[in-house]
Amino acid sequence: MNVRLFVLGMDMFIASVLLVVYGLTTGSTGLVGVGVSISVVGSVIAIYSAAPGEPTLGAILSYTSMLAHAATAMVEDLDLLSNKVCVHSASTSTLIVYSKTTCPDAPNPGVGFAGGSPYFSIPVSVFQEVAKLEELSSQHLEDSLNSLLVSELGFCKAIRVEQRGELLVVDVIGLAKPLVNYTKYPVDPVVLLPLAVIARLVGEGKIHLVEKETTPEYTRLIVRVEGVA
Amino acid sequence: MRELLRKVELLILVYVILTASMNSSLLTLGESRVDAYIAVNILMYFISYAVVRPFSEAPSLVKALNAALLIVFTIIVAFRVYEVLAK
Repeated sequence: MNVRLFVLGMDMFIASVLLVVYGLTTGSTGLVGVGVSISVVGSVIAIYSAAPGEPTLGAILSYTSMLAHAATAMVEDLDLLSNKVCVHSASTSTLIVYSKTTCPDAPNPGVGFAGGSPYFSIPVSVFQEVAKLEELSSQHLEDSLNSLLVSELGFCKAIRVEQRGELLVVDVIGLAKPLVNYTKYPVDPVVLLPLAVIARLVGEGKIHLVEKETTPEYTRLIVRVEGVA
Repeated sequence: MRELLRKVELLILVYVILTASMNSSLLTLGESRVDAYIAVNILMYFISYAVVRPFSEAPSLVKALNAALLIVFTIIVAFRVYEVLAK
């Protein structure tokens, strides 16, 4: 659900009811007409806020399953199932990197070797038009993540961010149902999307996934931000 | 998905602009029939929808909304036609 649209629709509906009441008390049927008309607009906006995506969602999910299987086969072949995940964000590209040891300094898209160990990196381009945060604080990050992942993508119900020393604790609450099935794959959307968006928001540098905890209520990602320019 | 959101927002923008201008015009002309405002509003919605076309195939919720608005519009027009014929 798009909360912004829903609030707008409800606000218009409430204002229109007040206008109708005013029109009725003053005996102005023209105002009543305008009020009823605005209430229709408010209702339409509120309904559109709850409208799901295109019915092609099923096709997109099938396609995503194919890609998830392909990526899983690749990760298995490279023996990266017990991997470390990081996001390498440079001025020209952002790469999600699965590696056995440390995050490579200059990874290339696809499969490569760094320090004698293989890595698998996926180029991502999410929210390219979004500017990076001027100040990296947990509150700013939480607001931005909620705006981008919750309001725009409907990724989950809410995101909570807490800063613990140099670590950021990101709680992904109420993951969207169509995405739940993909959390069992190594290429996990509950990890990849928040990390990619955090990388986009903090600018150039590396984002390391230190730990991931899954509970029935939320998925907790503990991340470390390194070398932000 | 972002493209879809933009189209929905564009639809709402066009719809609100058209409705606001039509409501102002009707009010200025001294129109006092409430059903005229509703009918014009629904017409503006369908014009906005046809111009913007936010979905290649509308979700069921939007289809239900379109059907409901069409029924309301048909009832209003039917009453007006009936009034004219009954005179």
